[in-house]
Amino acid sequence: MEWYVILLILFGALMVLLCMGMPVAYCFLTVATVAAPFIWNLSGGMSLLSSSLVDSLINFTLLPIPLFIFMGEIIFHANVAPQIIDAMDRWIGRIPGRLSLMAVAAGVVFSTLTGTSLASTAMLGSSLVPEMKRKGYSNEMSIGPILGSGQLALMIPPSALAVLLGAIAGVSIGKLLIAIILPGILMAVLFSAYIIVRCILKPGLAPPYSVADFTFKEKMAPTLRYVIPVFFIIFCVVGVIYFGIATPTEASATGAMACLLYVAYLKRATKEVLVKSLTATVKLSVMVLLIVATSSLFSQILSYCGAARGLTNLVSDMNVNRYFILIGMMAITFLLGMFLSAQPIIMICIPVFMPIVAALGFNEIWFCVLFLLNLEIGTITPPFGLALFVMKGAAGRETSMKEVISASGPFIALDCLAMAILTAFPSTCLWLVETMG
Amino acid sequence: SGAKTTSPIKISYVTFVHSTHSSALILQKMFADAEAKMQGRVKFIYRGGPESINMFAQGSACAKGAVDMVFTTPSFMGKMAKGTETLILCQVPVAEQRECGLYDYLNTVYNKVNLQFIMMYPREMGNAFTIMSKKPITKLADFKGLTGPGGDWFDDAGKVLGVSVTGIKISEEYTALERGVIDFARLTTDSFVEFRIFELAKYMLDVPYGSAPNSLFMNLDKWNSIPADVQEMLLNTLYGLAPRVQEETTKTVNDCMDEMKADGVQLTTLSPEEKKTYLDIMEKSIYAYVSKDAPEVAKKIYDLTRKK
Amino acid sequence: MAEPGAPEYEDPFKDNAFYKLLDRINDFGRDIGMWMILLTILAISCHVVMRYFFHAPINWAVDICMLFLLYITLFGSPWLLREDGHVGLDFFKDRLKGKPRVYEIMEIINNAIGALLCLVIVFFGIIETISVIQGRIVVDVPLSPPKWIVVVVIPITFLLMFFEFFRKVAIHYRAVKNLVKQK
Ligand code: NA
Ligand code: NA
Repeated sequence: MEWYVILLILFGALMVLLCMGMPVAYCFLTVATVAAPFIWNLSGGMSLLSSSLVDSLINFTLLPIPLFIFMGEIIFHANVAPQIIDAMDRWIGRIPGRLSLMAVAAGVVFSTLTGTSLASTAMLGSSLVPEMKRKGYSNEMSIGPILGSGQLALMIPPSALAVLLGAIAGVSIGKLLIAIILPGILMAVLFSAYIIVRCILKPGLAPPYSVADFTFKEKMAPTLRYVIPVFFIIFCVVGVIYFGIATPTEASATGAMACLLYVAYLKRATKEVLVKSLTATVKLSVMVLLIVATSSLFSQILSYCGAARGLTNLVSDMNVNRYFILIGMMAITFLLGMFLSAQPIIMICIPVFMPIVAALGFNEIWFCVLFLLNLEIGTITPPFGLALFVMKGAAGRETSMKEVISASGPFIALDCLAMAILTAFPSTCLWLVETMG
Repeated sequence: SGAKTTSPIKISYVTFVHSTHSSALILQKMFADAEAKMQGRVKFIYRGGPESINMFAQGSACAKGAVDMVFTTPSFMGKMAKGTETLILCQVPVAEQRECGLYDYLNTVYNKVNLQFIMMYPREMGNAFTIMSKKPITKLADFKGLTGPGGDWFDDAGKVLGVSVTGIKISEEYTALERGVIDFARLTTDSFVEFRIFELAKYMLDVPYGSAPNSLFMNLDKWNSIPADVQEMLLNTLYGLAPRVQEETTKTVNDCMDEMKADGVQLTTLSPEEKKTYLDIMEKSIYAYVSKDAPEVAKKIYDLTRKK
Repeated sequence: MAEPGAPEYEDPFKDNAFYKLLDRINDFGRDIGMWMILLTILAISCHVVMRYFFHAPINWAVDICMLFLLYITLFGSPWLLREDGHVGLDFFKDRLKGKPRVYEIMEIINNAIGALLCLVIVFFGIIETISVIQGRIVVDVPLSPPKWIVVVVIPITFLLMFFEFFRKVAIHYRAVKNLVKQK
């Protein structure tokens, strides 16, 4: 069978099941279970189903997912977020859409953890979204900015995904980690500018609420009590990595520990709060991890049968202007991003793309940055967008999948804009590398 | 069977390293040469790296016939064939492994788990692994107080050397080294380049040890389905190519060394007596670790693979 | 179990002793996950502190926490299924809400596929468990625990998921019957 026939069958079957409204994890598992005996053989394929589910879950780098979710849940259930926000409101005053901006800022801070955008999306989704809704924020201004800024996890070092990409592409990991910083900041700036402009044009999206005038002392008291300890949490996540106390994965545990201590310090670590936050953590983690495990099976099938390789090989046969080929490679990455998660896409595409990039005379580091940005978009593009699922789980039943997806729309567009800027001005990422290297 | 002799026997394979890793590239080239030499009797089809079959599932996938052949390490096979990790201490070059009896002995072990051992990855024996550190190591005392990656036989060696060992996933090794969670990395020369460790650790201890146990395994039923003459032809061809492939891998390793040296990496060494002590500690720890599940198998492999 | 705006569903097994037991087992699966998350936070934090300050990392804790990730996910899945917590794309299905019978039949199909899927996984999961026990296969982590202690969870939890899917089929079947009666 030709590779594109297999590709169409696999993608098609998945789309049909997804549209029927079956839970995402079971859609992947159904397709994999039916395909495995054909792609491999009956006994081997079925044995691979079980062992692959097991092997993809026994993976230390998944640890930040439940632990970051826990951080978000305990902050929410201990009812601390409103006070942190109120304390910060007393300082920031009347900037339009400031809760959304706060979400972007928090996204930047928490993206200093590993390259898993899910973790920071889950944390901010469960802690900030309820408060934003209470203040009348629209989905576009509450869910959107968190989905957008959660992606920065890949772009701001440390980024496990950037390390994997560097290793497989054979470029300097050190340079790549420096090269992603400015694009990451560029994206944060684009997101912020968009939020401010949208909120000025259409204030209803993020209703301005009145903040009374406070004396310095009234400003300082809640800051000391609620905001300063947050820096301790940030230290326990970012600081421990920076000072070589823990690896990025381990840092999610010290961060969760810090949140526990923080809530205990506020005397809110009751049994009820703990049980509620742990229940919510299990709920969201199980959902996400089961999707991670089953989608990994699906992508193994897609790679083994050669369908994914066939798709990526398309570009190597093209004989047109090099920028068309670049767009072709980005389009394929974008398409795969709609169905697969980032790690398999790197392993499928990069071995085919890098020789082409070298032959066309593009800068390899620059290409890797573009590619990484494209992978991030994949986390928020339907139908398979892990960050979308996390957000849906965190936002709860009142928010439909459709609302989550449409909230992500503008931020996908902003990401594409960032990619366009990077293409037009490669120095956006290369300048810092040249200065520091 | 009734198959026409003109249609080639197709062998699908996967590798536990990703498809652009130097050993995957060298294997692909070796198979292309082998196909040409066997005049179309056999065709190898590369199905990809760990993205196609999960790294740790490749051994059992091959045993159950999901894929015909795998290139993997006995360390990632869930101890299917206990004691075979002793190949880390192998001293006999691949080209001589059939004569010395290793090939036949390994197959008495692997056939029990429905695998046919085909061949180790052709590479110089006894100098695969070493240590790259952020501070120079010139005497054994320099190890004291360092933290290094463990989770295998090095846990024992670390104790003797005064190193505290901690489990680090390869995906985090770069960041862990960069930020100082660990002080050195412990890999093969090409992997230091693969994972760009030399960007951070500028000193290489030029006292290499051990052999990479990575090998080719075929599903036993698939192997038995191949006519005896083609089996023999396949083995002769692959083992015949081994010396030339070994030259290639040596060249790759040398290129990696040159790349690292150009980037400012310096070699350090130990005094002759300490060198001996150090290698002794490493070998004893490795043997203790690989032999604990199946002492007889380990002993047999160890004895068969001593340098003449 | 009922979604806001959705028709009132009645659990046909609400007085069934077997399903009552099942509910308790699935709640227990969730509780295991809760404890494991708490233990993971404590263990990894200790590991980090012990390594940095005392040069004595607790390496086995890392291995245990990796196994926990699997246990949390699989033991929690049947419970989450009962709570309708697995995310899906709802927008096409929601369009059917105007045609309640089509909607209910769609739900029956979805859950029947799920039930069938679970049975297949249970069957091959048992075979895989036997195979890793016979081969004395271990998990490829430094601690090298026997692999069956993780693989065996697959047939167990997917059997529990099968019963949950079956219950959903029954619920929606009853809803269809009621709709027919109303007409
Ligand atoms: Na990051
Ligand atoms: Na996507």
